[in-house]
Amino acid sequence: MTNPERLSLQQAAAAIRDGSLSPLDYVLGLLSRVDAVEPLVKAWTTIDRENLLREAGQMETEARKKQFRGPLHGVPVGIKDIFYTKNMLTTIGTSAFADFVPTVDAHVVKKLKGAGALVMGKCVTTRFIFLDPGPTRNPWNTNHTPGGSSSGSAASVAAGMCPVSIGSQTVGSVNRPGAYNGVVSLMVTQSRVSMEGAFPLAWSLDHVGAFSRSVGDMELFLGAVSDLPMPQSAPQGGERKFRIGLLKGFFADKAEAESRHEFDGVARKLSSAGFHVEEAQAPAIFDLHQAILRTILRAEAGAVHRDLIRSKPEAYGPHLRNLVQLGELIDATTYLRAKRIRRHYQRDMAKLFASFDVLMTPGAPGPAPEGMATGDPVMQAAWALADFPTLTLPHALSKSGLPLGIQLSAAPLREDILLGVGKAIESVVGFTARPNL
Amino acid sequence: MNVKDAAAIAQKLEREAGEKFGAERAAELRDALAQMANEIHALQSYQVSFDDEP
Repeated sequence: MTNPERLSLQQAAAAIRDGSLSPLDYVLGLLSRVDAVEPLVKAWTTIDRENLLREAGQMETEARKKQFRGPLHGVPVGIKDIFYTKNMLTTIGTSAFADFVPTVDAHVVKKLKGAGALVMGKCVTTRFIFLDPGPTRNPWNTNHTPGGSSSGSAASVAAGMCPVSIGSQTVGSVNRPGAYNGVVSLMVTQSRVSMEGAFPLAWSLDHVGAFSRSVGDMELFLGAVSDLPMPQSAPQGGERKFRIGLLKGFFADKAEAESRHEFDGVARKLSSAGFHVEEAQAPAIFDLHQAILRTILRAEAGAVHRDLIRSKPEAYGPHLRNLVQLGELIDATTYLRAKRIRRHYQRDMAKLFASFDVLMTPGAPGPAPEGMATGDPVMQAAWALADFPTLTLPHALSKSGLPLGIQLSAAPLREDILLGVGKAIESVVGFTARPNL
Repeated sequence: MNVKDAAAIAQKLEREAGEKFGAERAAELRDALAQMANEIHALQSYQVSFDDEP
């Protein structure tokens, strides 16, 4: 088949269902795409082609009989290499797990398989899901980082090697790479999709996330993996205006001049298109968000890695080694105090949704930086800490030709509102550029 | 952690880092420990009551 990388998730799933697309041909087409671009992008740790083709053949046999396992029947999905996959390597990006083959699937992988999805392969993560980078490069310019830690998950979708992938976010590991790679990214509320069967960084902050090339694709994907029913009460643009709260202050200070300029431009465009756009004021406790998050992150990462860092010190990069050792110095009362203040933070931040459907910020300080370092998660920490579902979507190209994204957050478990507003914004912004690979 | 100001917290953390990881490593971590001490101090300065515990 020609140009399988151009098919959206919705198009592929619909074409498989109506018989116009063979799951086997689709997988073969995507594998050809992998052969063409993977040497440049380096998004995958493992692709088990033999098993993938065998399962695609089985999906095809079932599709011919009009037997469909679920809404993702025959669609290949990339899996961040921290989610356990039965009988497939799961390396957590580290030599310490180089030979680890789980005997069970992570919860979200089970959900995907139940919905008919195929595991395309395992996507590169940074070492132990933190800041020490893997080999993946940004498909828009391979001199630049794709961000992290869900580096391969974001780059594989941006490069057209699969239509959707899953990642995880503890601080900024989904929405930052989403912005850097010019794709749609979603961090869900923690109770929306369980992280069971994924290696943790900091369990009370870890979230499931995903990457796709449109908000509609994300909606289809989320409907297939959500552990809770999706509310159906999203505000409709025709009934009343979507209310967008612009959070400037901290976020404007952290944004580069070009990113700030483009962000202001898209806000004006949305206002002209009929959205109710108004500046929102963060509550006083917002100023503590980095202190709260870092304290919890250090303490939990210290607990996760306490024994392993002693038995396999060579597996640790400098960033995670620092984090873990700092975490070992945090006492129980300090950790518990941070957790208590987090609840105050979540409560006070959620009050903003009395006035707004979503809050909007830049998706990253600027375009993806040059080099290996995975960039700054400063635009994401507030939302991971709040456990507010958060979406990024591309809206412009920088002068350097790299994508810029906007970021939207909604109240906990209101992914329906988030995706509804996201679709409306997507149609106004009309971003269609793709990396020239 | 029963200390009041960020400098005192940093000193305590550096002493503990030395005991756990050695003096050389504690010195390498000095800047990070100072930042962590500031953040712990900020959390200690925020008033929380037990009334809202679940």
